[in-house]
Order: sequence, then C-alpha cells, then structure tokens
Amino acid sequence: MTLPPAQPKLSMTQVLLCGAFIVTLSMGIRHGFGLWLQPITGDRGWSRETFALAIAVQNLAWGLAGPFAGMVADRFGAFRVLIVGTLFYAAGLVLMGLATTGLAFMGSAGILIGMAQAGTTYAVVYGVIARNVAPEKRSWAMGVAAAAGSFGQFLMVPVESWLIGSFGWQYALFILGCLSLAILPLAFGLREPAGALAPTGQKQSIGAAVREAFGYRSFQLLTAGYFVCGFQVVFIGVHMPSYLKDHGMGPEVATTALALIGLFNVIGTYAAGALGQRMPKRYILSAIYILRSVVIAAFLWAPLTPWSVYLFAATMGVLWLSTVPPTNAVVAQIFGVQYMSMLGGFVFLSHQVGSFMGAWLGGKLFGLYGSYDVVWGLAIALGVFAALVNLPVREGAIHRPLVQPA
Amino acid sequence: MRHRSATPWRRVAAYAAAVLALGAVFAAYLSPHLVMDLATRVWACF
Repeated sequence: MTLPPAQPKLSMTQVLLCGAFIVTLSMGIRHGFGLWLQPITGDRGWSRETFALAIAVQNLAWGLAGPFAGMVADRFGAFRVLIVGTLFYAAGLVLMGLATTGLAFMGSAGILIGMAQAGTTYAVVYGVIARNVAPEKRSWAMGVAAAAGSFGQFLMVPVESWLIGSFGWQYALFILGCLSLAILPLAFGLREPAGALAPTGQKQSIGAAVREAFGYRSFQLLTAGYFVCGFQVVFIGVHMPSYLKDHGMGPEVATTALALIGLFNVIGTYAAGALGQRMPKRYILSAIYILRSVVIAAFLWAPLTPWSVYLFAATMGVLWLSTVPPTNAVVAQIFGVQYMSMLGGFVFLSHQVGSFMGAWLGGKLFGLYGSYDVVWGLAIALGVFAALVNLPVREGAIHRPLVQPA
Repeated sequence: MRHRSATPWRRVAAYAAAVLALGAVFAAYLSPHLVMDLATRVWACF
C-alpha cells in the first residue's frame, strides 16, 4: 500500500539545537576516557589491559547496540531511546567510579556506557533530523550535528582533565554522570508528535528493510567504506602518541596535535555536510578517503618534525569525522527516512568493527614487527580501497516495485 | 515556506560565535598548566 509523503513535524531550528547539544554531550563525555587510565589503574591496582579491554568492549557494545537502538527509535521514537540511553550513561559513569573489580568496570565503562552511546549519538539523532529537515537541507543539517559532536570531543578533553585535577578521578566521573543528565530535557526537543513515525510511501517491515539494505550493492559499498573510516581514525588516535614518542618527539607535540585534530575536525565535519548539498556525496566520500591516504603517505615520507606533525594533525583533522554526514545522508537518500536510525546503526557497526581492528591490529603488528610501518601501509591501502568502493555508490532512491492491494 | 534562510547578520553572528568558541577551547589546550597535565596523562597511556 502506498501512503502519502509525510511533512516535517518539528522545526529545523529546534531539531538542530537540541540534537547538536545532545551529541556535544554524548560524544564529548566519552572522548576523554583515556585520561582516567593512569589514576584508575593506579588506585585500583589493575593492569592497563583491564582498562583497555573495557574501552574496547565499550566500542563494540556501541556498535552492536546501534542497530537495535535505531530499530526502537524508528518504531517508538528517538525520545524514548534518548531517555533510556541517558539513564544508562549516568548510571554507567557513576558505576565506573564505584567499580572495584575488572568485571564490574567492564560492565559499567564497557557495556553500559557502550549501550548508552548507541542510544544518544548520531544514529538516533540523525533519524529525527532526516524526518524533520527537508531533503534539500538534510546533508547540511547532518553536518551541523556532526560538527557539534566533534566540538564536544574537542571541548571535553580539557574540561575532563580539569575535573580530574580539581576533584579527583572518582568525583570527576560522578560530576560527568550528573552532566550527562542534561540530555534528558534536550530529548524533549526531539519528541516527535504521535503519528510522526507512521510510514510514508510504501509500508515495509523491519525484516524487509534489513534484507533490502543488505542485498543492495550501494549499501554494502558504503558499509565497507565506513569500516575503513573506523580503522584509520582509531589507529591514528590510539597509536599516534606512542609513534611520536618512539621517534623522539616531546609530549607537548602530541597534545598540540590532539588539539589541532579536534579543532579541524569541527571544521571538516561541517564542511562535508554543507558540501553534500552541492555535489554528489559519493565523490565527497571518495575524496576524503583518498586524501587520507595521500596525507598519511606524505607524513611518512617527509622528515618528522613538530611542524610536520602539526600539518598532519590539521589535515587529518579536516578528514577525521567528515565521513559521518555524507554517509548517513546517502543512507537516507537511498532508503528513505522510515528506518534511517536502524540502517545508520548497521553502517556504524561496520565502523566500530574497523575501530576495534585499528586499535588491536596496531598493537599486534607493532609487537610482531617492532614498528608501525606495516599498519601505516595498511591504512594507506585501505584508504585507496574505500575511495574506490564509494565511487560506484548509487545515491538515488531505491526502486521498490509497487505492491498491489489484494 | 516553512524554513526561512538566515539573515546575513545572523549568519555572521553564528560564524563569529563559532570562531570564538573554537578559539577559546584551542587556547585552553595551549595553557601551560593544561599542556603539562594533558601531556603527562597522554604520555602515561603508552
């Protein structure tokens, strides 16, 4: 049965303001977790592996819970998922501070916060944006939300460092738990009226939507490309400081590089979203991935100096999360907005598997070969692969044969 | 029409606010105390 297309239900300003503040908090709070490694492991007498395993589990839980959080958001509304996600977030942060065993730490910092992330970040918020912002402004709006998430990451590292220094690591976590509750009132701004989630166009079941997406070549290509995004970003984020240390760089070089990546990431994500309104998104994605390969190759080829590190950090910053708006906008363009959050969650799962591989393989191959050369080479080759697979993506709406009523 | 495009002064104000916010956070990263604190913690991770 074919139904008339739905009209936007919430104002764009409201959706953008509330969505942007939500992802600023949800993406920002977790971004500085590395700062807790030393104080927590020192106080609790745990190995670094205990801490690192919990963070790895968090990333996987985020990815695995994403499609389910998206499914519930598409079916019952993002508002409910945001409320539950926020409560998980606050509980996870408080329990993270109280955990006295490695298992409890993994349950709180790993599973609970990972699930909270799935319920409060891009996939869920993008569903509301896709349903309430007109298609001609959708990519730009997704760019604004992604830039807000990037800003959160940029902002919260110094804030969390200050909190730990001023209140101690445990109270800092409790304060962040309270701060995460600020998402609750903001979630009301994304509460869509009853009936807003009713399907438009042809009715489709969840199972049919999943089968359709996974059987569609362009979705497979986008998903493969997003794996590379996760691999590159997390490999560089996790292993870059030790790479610089191995090459005799001072610690201030690593922190300045961190700041530059954060700063230019905000600019890059916004620009990618805005550019998505003007040109085919597959070309934007392809350009981002090939430029990443070029930038990494140039960085490795050039003599390593603080300024080459800063230039690398700034250019990689522009390309950091800039894949997020075009990837999600293409999903909405192809499949429509009915299952946007769920399908976005599936694509993001691939990103998280890539993230896990980037962090894990980086360490594994370094252990085997005594240098990062092989992983850098892998990152370059994967960038070329992602650039190529994004080129044939078809951005047009998928053709669905009309179902004749019985 | 549902969405009106932003007036020029609003757009300029929005960009100015964004630049100010980004500049303020970047300056926070450059404060000597924070650089040392961050560097110690980041370095201790590896």
